[in-house]
Amino acid sequence: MTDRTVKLLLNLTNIVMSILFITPLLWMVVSSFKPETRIFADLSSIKALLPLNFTLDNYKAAFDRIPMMKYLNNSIFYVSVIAISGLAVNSICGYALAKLHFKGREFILSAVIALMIVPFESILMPLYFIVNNLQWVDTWPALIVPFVANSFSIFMFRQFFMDIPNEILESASIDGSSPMKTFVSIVVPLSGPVFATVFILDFISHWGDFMWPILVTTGESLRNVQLGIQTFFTLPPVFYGQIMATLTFTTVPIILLFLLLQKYYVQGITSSGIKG
Amino acid sequence: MKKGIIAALLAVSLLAGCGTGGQTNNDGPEGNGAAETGSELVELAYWRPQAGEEEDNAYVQRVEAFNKAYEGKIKLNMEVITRGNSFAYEDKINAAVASNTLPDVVALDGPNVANYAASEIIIPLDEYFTEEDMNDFVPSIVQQGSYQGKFYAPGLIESSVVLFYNKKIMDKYGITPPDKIENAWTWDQWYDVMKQTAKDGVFGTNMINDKGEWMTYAFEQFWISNGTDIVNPEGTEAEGWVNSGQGIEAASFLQKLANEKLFNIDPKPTEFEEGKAATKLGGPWNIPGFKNYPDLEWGITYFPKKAGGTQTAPSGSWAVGVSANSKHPKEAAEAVKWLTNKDSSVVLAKSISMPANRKSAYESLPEYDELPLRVIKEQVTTVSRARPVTPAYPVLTQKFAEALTDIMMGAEVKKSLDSVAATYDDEYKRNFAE
Amino acid sequence: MQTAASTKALNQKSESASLGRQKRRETVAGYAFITPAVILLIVFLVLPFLFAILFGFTKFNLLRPDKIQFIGFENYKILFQDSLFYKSLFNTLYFTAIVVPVQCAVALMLALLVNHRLKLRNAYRIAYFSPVVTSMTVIAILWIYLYNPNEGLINSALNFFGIPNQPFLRSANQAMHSIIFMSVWQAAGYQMMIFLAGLQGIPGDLNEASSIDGANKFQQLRFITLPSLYNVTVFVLTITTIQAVKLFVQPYIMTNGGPENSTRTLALLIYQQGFQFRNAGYASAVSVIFFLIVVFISFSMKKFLRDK
Repeated sequence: MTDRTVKLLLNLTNIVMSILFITPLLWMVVSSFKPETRIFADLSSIKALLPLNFTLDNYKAAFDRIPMMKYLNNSIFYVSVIAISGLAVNSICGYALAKLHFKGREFILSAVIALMIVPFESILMPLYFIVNNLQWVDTWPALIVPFVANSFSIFMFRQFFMDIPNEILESASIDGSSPMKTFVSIVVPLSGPVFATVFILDFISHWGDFMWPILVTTGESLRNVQLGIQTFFTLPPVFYGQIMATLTFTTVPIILLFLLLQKYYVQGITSSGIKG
Repeated sequence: MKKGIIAALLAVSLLAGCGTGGQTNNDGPEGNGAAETGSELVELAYWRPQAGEEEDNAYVQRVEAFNKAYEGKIKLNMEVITRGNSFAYEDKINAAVASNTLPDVVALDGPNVANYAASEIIIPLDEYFTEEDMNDFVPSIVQQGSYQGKFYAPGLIESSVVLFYNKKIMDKYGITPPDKIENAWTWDQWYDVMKQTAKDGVFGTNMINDKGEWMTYAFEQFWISNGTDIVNPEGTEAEGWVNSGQGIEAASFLQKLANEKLFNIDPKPTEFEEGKAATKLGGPWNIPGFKNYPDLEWGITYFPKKAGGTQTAPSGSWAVGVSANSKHPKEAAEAVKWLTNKDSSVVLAKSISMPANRKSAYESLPEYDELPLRVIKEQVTTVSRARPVTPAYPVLTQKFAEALTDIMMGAEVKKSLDSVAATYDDEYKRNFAE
Repeated sequence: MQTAASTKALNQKSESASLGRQKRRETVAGYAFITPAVILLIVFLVLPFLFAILFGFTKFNLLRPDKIQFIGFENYKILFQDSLFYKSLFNTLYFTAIVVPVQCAVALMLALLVNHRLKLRNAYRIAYFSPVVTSMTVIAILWIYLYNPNEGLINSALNFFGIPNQPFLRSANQAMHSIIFMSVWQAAGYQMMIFLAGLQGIPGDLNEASSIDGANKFQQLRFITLPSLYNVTVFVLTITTIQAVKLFVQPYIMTNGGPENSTRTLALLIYQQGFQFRNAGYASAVSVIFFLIVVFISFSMKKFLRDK
């Protein structure tokens, strides 16, 4: 097979598969620009995915109903704080567990893995007691601090750092570089893809926060996008057009973030000095 | 035990470097400061779940009116909690109970009244309501709000389930749905209508709103109509009720409709509106949406009953109560009375096309004297029944809904209902029997 | 004894003083690096879970915190006699056993598909990843419609091939498999991202060198790509397992555990008991058993992967 045929085959496979995967997203976006009465009426044919009867009414109604921009800002703010501080806290922890030798390392690693298993439902109430006792209810720390350290991210960093050749680290250490300096100046630049991946996965998981914010916030001021979306899931009649509009509006930032982070995937290769 | 937990929590607070562990955690609702400093003004916190836009606005209007009427004496601060399509509001209440931060006035879903009353979260309000007042409420409101002989929480509004029909389809087959309550269709008559109309991609009926609370709300009435119920009147036992002979008959009827594909188990929400169902078990909340479908000509008839059985209809609504945490129960009760008085009832009923909770309110709602809304008024003021009043309601409704859904998908009727009875009786004995 | 040991240590120290200093520095750094994460995890995860374990020994109605009551192993006794618990456990393990290998294989395939230098690869990546970011509500509406027993698209397709309508989500025999199929489709993009990050670490030289040596694409995959993905694969398998045993959202939205409990999972049981029924004590006991079982699975898996 020539390179050209390989490429053609790959593209064909990818296009077919992409259609199978992207349909729900497409349906959501298209439906958000349709009048309420068409959304389900069109569902049984290809019309479901075609932007017929275009209207902005759903967006107008949704934005009239709730301060969506404010909720969006809130979400972007606190989720970014979690994800960014999470990168710092979890990456150094993952690095220590991967490359530094100290007593109890294996135990900590096992504990980190075990903690991933704890079902969030079972700690929800005790966690609420703790946060309430810290008098954090209705403040940002309640939404942020409990989720900065993340055993999932720690384990992921650890697994990726394991693949960094020891020789690179040892030579730095012989040069008198402190572990912190080695980490910041050698390990981090080598690890663009993993940082980008942890960031986006962490970001997405907290972008979907719903139960916890309900418990720890009462007023309007700290509401996030999910609480905004849930406004439209009320007693019937439910207006699906407005739901689709808010869902589309809150999915766009994630897609943008995803696109933005793509460049770090390439960076991982070039900066490691192995041909790009 | 509790002390141990609190002590450990204090340790946590210190560990986290916050040092605020000395908080007593017994502050009660926010906003009571003014009263404690000797001023006349009593501030009350009021939580209720977010609803549709019109309903939300109606509450804002009534709270503003209250604050104006009681200016300088009581100020009601309403906090709207996101409810979503889940139990988020209830979870929030759970958390508030655990941390002693319940508001003075709290909205709760009707079937939860018994649960909250048994847990002593809300207080009885009998002393604040006159007999005249109580008689003015439609019967289902009193039934829903009472637990063990005491009245805890009046409903803000009422609801009902009726049988909508598509006029064009009825005309096509020469069917005339009844317009007098004594002529309401029996199950068999309704079945014949469905049999006749279910063809060419049209279902005989549309009756699945969701597979959760709706199942209990709408279909418990089939048990009642057949002379039984899903638990005994005291709410202590399900064995011999939900799975009684009449109960099995009711469930089998519903299963027959499913087996013969007379309704869609997973319908599109707009099936009836698009003319794909000849009838629909639905509520007044559906009516505003109908106007978006100019091709749809609809009518209302009564909730079907068992031949020779009781005429009945579903009912239920959100209610308001006074929390046991409140330091101002008298003022809070004043607010509850206001929110459920005739004026509030009329404002709400007008804004969201739901039936009023008071008989007197219908004087100001002339639209309910004519068809089609007359059907709703008749059901609400005469035959409607509240859902079972029992502290173990969360288990009952969940298990009943699961069983009925299973039955509609072909599960063995008796076995499914036996399991509901066993689970419920177990739960009741374990957690609520004295 | 003690003297001998310390003498030995002393000798070692003098032999390689600088190495020792470095080791000490590494130990100090190690502890310093893990401290922030460990403290946060203890306060906000370990401690709440210890409370949950404690609650497992109590009768605790969430609405009656004042009436909390120590009842020893009563919850566990009830639990081990509860047929619903065994059913949920079985469903959870069944789901996990199928989903983990299938989903990881699909994810790896997707990652390989978009790891080539194709013009549109960012678009493909977004497409594969999109079910992960699309709201579960939207996905559920669509799939319930696709699976509709009376008029669904999948049934229309089956009819075309002469196969009669299938009940899918509305049958005790097919519901779990319908959820499995949908879950793999929905979440594969997630693992794809992680594999993709791993693939980026494989030096291009290696594949090129081997292709000069005459290795075909499959051999490249088998002998170069996969071995170098070992640590990543261990990670993906572990987290996929953990996510799979926590299966909650799909059955919660699409089947509510039915029909006839065929899609009831442990996570669903915990949620229902703990929040809907407010039996925090019993729910905590289920959580503890759930935790122990999954810890056992993950660690035997880890051991198996290491011993390989």
